[in-house]
Amino acid sequence: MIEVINLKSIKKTYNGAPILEIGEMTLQAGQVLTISGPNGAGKSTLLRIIGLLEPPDHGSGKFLVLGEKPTWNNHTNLRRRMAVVFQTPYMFNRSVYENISMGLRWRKLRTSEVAERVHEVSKLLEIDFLEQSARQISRGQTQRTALARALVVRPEMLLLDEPLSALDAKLRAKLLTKLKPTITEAGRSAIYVTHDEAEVKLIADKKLTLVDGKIER
Amino acid sequence: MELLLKGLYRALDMLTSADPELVTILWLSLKVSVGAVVLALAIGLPIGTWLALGRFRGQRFLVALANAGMGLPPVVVGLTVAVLLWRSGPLGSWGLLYTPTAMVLAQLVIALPIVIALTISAIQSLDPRIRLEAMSLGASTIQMVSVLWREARLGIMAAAMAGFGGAISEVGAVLMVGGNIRGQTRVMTTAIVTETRMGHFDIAIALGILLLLLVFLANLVLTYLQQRQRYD
Repeated sequence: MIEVINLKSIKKTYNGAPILEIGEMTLQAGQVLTISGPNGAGKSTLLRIIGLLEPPDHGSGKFLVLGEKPTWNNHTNLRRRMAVVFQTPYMFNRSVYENISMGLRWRKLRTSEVAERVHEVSKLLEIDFLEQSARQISRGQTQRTALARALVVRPEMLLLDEPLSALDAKLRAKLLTKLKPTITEAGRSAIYVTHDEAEVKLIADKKLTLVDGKIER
Repeated sequence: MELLLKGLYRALDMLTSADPELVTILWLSLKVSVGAVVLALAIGLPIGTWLALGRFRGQRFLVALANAGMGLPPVVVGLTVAVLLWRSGPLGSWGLLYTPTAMVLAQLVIALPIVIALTISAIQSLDPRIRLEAMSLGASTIQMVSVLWREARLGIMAAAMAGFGGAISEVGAVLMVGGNIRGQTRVMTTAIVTETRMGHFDIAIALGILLLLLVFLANLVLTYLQQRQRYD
């Protein structure tokens, strides 16, 4: 099995206060790992570190993402093999369609392929508001747009921070059951942060709980 | 009151008859100020963005410098540029003094800090999530900057408008480096000064009204562009 994440003694400190101290953490390709834990446990920080959006502290240990050690030179390339959905996603001041297609255009895909992929993912996530301004849609629609924006680039690894929290339970369960095979059948992997036990049951291959920045066994 | 009415009448007359000297002056004013603003944007946007995002020693000092630069006295700018371009000055060999190019340079010095300072505030007032979101979607540095500019486009347009306003309305600097030569370097503001000195108040008032009209029309175009690009 290919290891997509391999972390050993990763630390993060803000203003002198330690907020993350990961002893060891691994994830295999094709697996979904859920992370739960109370507010302020460091879940989002861990996701941002893995997503190469902020560095771990100096002197941290092993840090392999998608089998590679992140360096200044391969950051953008590694980031392009992953996708992150934030808890409160930012919608660019454009249409929903343009928001979803942004990552594809940055990867210089042909317009016809961009359109094809956007429509495919919109169908999967039941997005029928592509032409609307992304600033004028509801919270639930925003979350689905953000998820589409991440899925459309077909990342090797998805990092999802409570991506469906604004949806009602029924739609959430429906989308989750569609999401799981989309991730694992293509040999991709995902880290899924959630508070919801029902979500964990539906999607997790592996789970961990984070308390005060540490993994609880 | 009679003077003002005379001025208004004169302005209408000059406009409807398309007075050739007036057309030359108007056209040069526009060319010089638009040229200065385009250059100010080309130089000021990257610098403003870098100063807005950078975390380095002296960054705050440079931001303060740009802010202070918005209040640069045009006469001092004119003096500095004139000294630089003076025949025996460091750039004297370029032979630019008393040419429209010198006037563009002087107005560039006036518009640049305005563009830089307003770009800094436009970029810094953006939602910090934009950078994270763009990075996570795989943006390269250039793609990131273009996204930031696009999101800050209303503020950047305001920077362009303020820069243009500062450039076209100033008189001291263009007078010193352009020399107010009739038919060559005379622009609206310097023409107003000349006509007032000669006691031709009606022509001066007419030119003043036309200058106001020019500034209004230019800002109307920019405002139209700015508001058209609003999405939400």
